Amino acid sequence: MQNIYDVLIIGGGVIGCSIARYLSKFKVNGILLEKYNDVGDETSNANSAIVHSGYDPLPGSKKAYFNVKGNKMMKDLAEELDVPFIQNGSLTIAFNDEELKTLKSLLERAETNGVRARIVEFDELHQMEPNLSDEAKYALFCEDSGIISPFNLTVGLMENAMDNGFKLALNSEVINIEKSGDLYHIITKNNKDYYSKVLVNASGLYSDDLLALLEKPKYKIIPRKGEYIVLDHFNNNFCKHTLFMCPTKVGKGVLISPTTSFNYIIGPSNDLSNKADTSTDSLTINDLKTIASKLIKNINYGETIRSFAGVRANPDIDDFIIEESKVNENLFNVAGIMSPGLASSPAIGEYVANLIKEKLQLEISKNFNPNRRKVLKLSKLDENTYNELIKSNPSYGHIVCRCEKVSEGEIIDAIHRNCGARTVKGVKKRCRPGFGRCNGSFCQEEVIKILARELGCDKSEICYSDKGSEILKFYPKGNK
Amino acid sequence: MKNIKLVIIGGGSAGLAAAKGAYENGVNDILIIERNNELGGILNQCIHSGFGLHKFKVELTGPEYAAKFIDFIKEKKINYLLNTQVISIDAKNKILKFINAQEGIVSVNYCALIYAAGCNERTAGQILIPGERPNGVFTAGLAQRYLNIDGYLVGKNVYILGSGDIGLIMARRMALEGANVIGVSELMPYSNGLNRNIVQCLNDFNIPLRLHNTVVRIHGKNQLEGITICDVDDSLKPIKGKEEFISCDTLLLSVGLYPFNSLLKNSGAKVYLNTKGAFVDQNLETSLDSIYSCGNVLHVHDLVDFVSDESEIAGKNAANRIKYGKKEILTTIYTNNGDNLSYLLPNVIHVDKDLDSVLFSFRVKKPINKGKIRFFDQDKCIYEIVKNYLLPSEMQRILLKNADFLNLKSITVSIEEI
Amino acid sequence: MKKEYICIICPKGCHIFKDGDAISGYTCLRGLEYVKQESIKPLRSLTSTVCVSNRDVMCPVKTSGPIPKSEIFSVMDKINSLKVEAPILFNQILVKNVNDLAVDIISTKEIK
Repeated sequence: MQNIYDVLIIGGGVIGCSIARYLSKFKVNGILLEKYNDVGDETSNANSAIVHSGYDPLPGSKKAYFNVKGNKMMKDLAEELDVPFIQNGSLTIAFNDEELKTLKSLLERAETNGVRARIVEFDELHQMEPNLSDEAKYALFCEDSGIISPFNLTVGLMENAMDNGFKLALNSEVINIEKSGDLYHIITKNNKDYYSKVLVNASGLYSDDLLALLEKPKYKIIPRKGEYIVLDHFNNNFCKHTLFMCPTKVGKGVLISPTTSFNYIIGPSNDLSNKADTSTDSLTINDLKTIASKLIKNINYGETIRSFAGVRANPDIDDFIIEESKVNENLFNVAGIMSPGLASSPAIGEYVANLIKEKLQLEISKNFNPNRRKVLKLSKLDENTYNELIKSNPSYGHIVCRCEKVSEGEIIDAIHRNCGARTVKGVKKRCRPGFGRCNGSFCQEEVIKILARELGCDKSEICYSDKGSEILKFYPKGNK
Repeated sequence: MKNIKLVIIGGGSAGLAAAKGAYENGVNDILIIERNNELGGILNQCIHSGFGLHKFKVELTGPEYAAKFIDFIKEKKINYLLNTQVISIDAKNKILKFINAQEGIVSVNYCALIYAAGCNERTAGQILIPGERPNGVFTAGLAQRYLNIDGYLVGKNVYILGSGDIGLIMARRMALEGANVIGVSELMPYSNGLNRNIVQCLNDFNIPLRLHNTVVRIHGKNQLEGITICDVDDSLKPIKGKEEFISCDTLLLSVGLYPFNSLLKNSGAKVYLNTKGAFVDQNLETSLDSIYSCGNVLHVHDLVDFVSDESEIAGKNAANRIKYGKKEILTTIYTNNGDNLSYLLPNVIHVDKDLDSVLFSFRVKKPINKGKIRFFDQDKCIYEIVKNYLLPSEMQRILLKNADFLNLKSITVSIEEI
Repeated sequence: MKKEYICIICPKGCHIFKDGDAISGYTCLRGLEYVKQESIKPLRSLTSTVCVSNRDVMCPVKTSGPIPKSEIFSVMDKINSLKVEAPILFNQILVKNVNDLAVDIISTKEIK
C-alpha cells in the first residue's frame, strides 16, 4: 500500500500549516491536504490580521491560554519565517465613564491572563494617536498586540514545514474517510487514496462536516461573516496602533488598524452567514465607515482601494476545540478556531504537534531548520546590498508592480519556493502585486507572463485563483 | 550620480511631447524614463482611430499617433530608458532615483523634472461594488491590453459598467472580436463618452445603453457568473424592485480615471483635490521648485491631442527655466472654480514681467446646452464667452489674453446656463 | 421625415438633421458630407489586430479607407484568418484590396 503516512492534516489554513510546521521538528512522515490550489485561501485569507495580546478571552479558557502563549511566540516565529510582523500595540477606546468601567474590568482580566496592559488617560492617549476622535477619553493600552501578514504567515509555516520534509497536496478535497485497521483511509475528490496513523481535522469552517464522516460531532460551526474595507498607504502616521471599540459599545467590535504593508484596515462586521458567502454589501460597508469615523477623525475614504469579507469558523461553544476524539483514537480535532485564532496559531501548532509526538513516540529531527530563506525586497535592503543583488540577479532590478514596488525577482522566487505560488492570487498573497491601488490593472499581465514562463505552461492556463478562473480565456486569431 | 538637465518621468503621450517641446526650445540633455518595454504608453493599446485630428489634421490610430513622437525622439537621439521605474524624488536636492535591471539603483541630479506618469483606471475595489470578488471583473483598459497587444479575449459574454470612452471603445472591440456584448450601464443620466463613440461603438452593434443604472452585485466566487444591475434614483441610489440579474463571464469597468500622482505627492508636492493631480501655476510648475507636471497625471484629458499640446508647453517652460533661470514673480494670483465647474487649472498664476496670456483648462459638472463662461476678478467680470454643448466628458480650454494680470486680485471662472 | 444623425467625423459629435434633401445643424462641410453618405450607405473605418506568428504581440491594423458598415464582419473574418511574420513595417500593406472593397489592410505599427 502506497501513500501511508504517520500524520495527515486536513486543511491548509494557518492552523493546519502551523501544526505541520511544528510537527516537522520531528522525524515524521506527514502530509497536509488542502482543497483549494493554495494554502490559506479561506478564513486565513480574510481576517483582521491582528495578533491580539490576550486581554480579552475569559481567564482559564483555551482561548486565553493559546492567545497569550501565541502572542509571546509570534515575534521569534515571524523572525524565523521572515514574515512581516509589527508589535504596534492596541488601544481599546472608552468614550465615557461607563465604558471606563468596562476597561477596568478588562484590565483585571488582562492581569489574570498575564498580559501587560494599562489604562491611558486623555492627554497621553491623544498624544499617542493625534487623529483620534476628540470624544475618546480613555483607552486600555496593550503594548504586546501586533499586526502580521496572515498570507505570509500561513505560506511561511507551510513552506518551512516542506523545507523540513512535510508534504503538501493541493486541490485535494476530502470526500470520505474510513477506518482501515489501525489506519485512517482518506479519499479525495480527485480520486486519490491516503492512509495515515494519525488524522488531524483542521478544516476550519467545514470541520464539523468533515468530522461527521467519522463520528457525530459534539459541536457545530456557526459561520459568521466579517466585512472589511482597506485604505491605501496614504500616510504612515495616520494611525499607529490598532484601535478597538470598547466591547460594550454598539460597535460590534469594529477596529481600525494599520497593516504590515502600511495600508489601513477597517472592520469587521459580524453577521451570521453561510460558509461560502464572502460577499460584501453596501449597507454593512457604510456601517463600518460610520463606526470607524467615531474612532478617528478625518478618515479619507477616497483612499479606499478595496472591500472584502471573510467567514469565521465560530463554534457553538465559546472556546477552541483542541483535543483527541473520544470515539476515534488518533483523530485530533482542532476546530472552532475563531478570533484570536491567528494570534493563537503558533501555540496551537506547537501544542498539537507535541500531543502527536507523544502519541507516536516521535523523535526530534536533528536536521530541522527553523528558518525560512529570507525574502529579498527593495524596501528591506539598503541600496548597496540591493545593487549587489541586481548585479547577481538582474530580475531584482525590474519592478513589475509599481504600486507596491515588487520586482520580477521577488515574484520568481515566490513561485519557486516550496509551497510556491501557482496563480495570480498566489503571487499577490506572497509578494503583493495586485494589492495596491491599481488592483493589478497594470501588472497582472506581466505576472501572468512570469507565472507561465516559470511554470512552463501557456499563458492561457494561468488562473486567477482556482481552476475555472483562467484569465486569458480565448485567443480568437490565427489559431495560435 | 548622473547629471542630466531635464528628466521626464513617463514615455507616453505626455512625456514624449514634453521631450519634443523641450528639445525644440534648446535643451537636448534629456532623459525619458519609461516603466514599460516600449515608448508610447497607453497609445500602443488604443488601436482604434480618432487621434490627431486637432494636432495633425488627420485621423490616426493610437500607435500611429505615438509613432509621430517616437520618430522625433529617435531622430533627435533623445535618450530614454525602458523597463525603468523611478522610486523616489528628493525635490529639495533635485535628485531622483530610478531602478532597472541593467544599472540597478541610480541617482540622477536634474535641473528640471517633468512628471508625466499618466493615470490609472478606477477599479472595482475603489468603487466598492458589493458582492463577491471573482476573476472576470476587469478595468476596460486591462481587457483592452489583453485583447489588442496580447491577442486574448477575457470572456465571451460581456457587460460594461460606465460609459466613458474606454468602455465604449471596448464594447466595439469585444463585439468585433466575437464576444457577445450584453449592454452598458451608466450611473449618470447622461453618457460620459463622446457622442461619436455612442454611435459607432454601441448603436452600430445594437448594444443597449442603460442610463441611470448601475451594477449592485457581483456573483460568482471563483469566476464571474453574473451581475445584478439596478436603476438608480435622482440621488443615484439603487431603486428597490428595479434589480435585474444578468448572466455574464466578464464585467468591464469604465468608471473613471485618476492621476498616478503618488510619487509626486510623496515627494511633497501640493495636490489639487479636484483633480488629484498636482497644484500648478500657469507654467505647469508644481509647488516643488523646477518640477513640472503635464498630461493625464495633472488632469485627465479627453483627447490625446490636448495632452500633447499641454506637454509641449511644459517642455518649453522647463527648457526656458533651465536656460534662463527662475523669473522674478511680481505678484501671485490664485484661481477658483466657480459655478458649474468641476475643476480649473492653473491653480495659481505667478505674474512676471513677460506674462501676457494664460491658458485655462476646466470641465463642467453637468451637461450645459448653452453656457456663458465668465472670468471674474472678485466681483468684476473681466472676460466672457458663450459656448454650446458643454459636456462633463469634454475638457474646455480658454486662452485669457490682454488681462491686466499685474493688478488682478484673484480669478474665478463660472458658467451660467442660458 | 426629419431624421437626426450624430456626426462621427470628429469628437465634437454635432447633432445634424436631414429632412428630405434639407440638411441642417452641421458646423463644417465634413459633417454635411457625413450625413449625405450616412443616409445612403454608411461607411466605417475598421481597426483590429493580426496574429504575428513569430512574436508574442499582435500587430495592430486598419483599413486604408472606410468600408461599408455591412461589410465589417466579412472583413473581420479575413483579418482573423491572417497570420503574418515580423518584421512588419509601419503602414505596410498586409492585404491588398480586401474582399474586393478597394481598400487595403495595413499595419499601424512597426513590429521589429
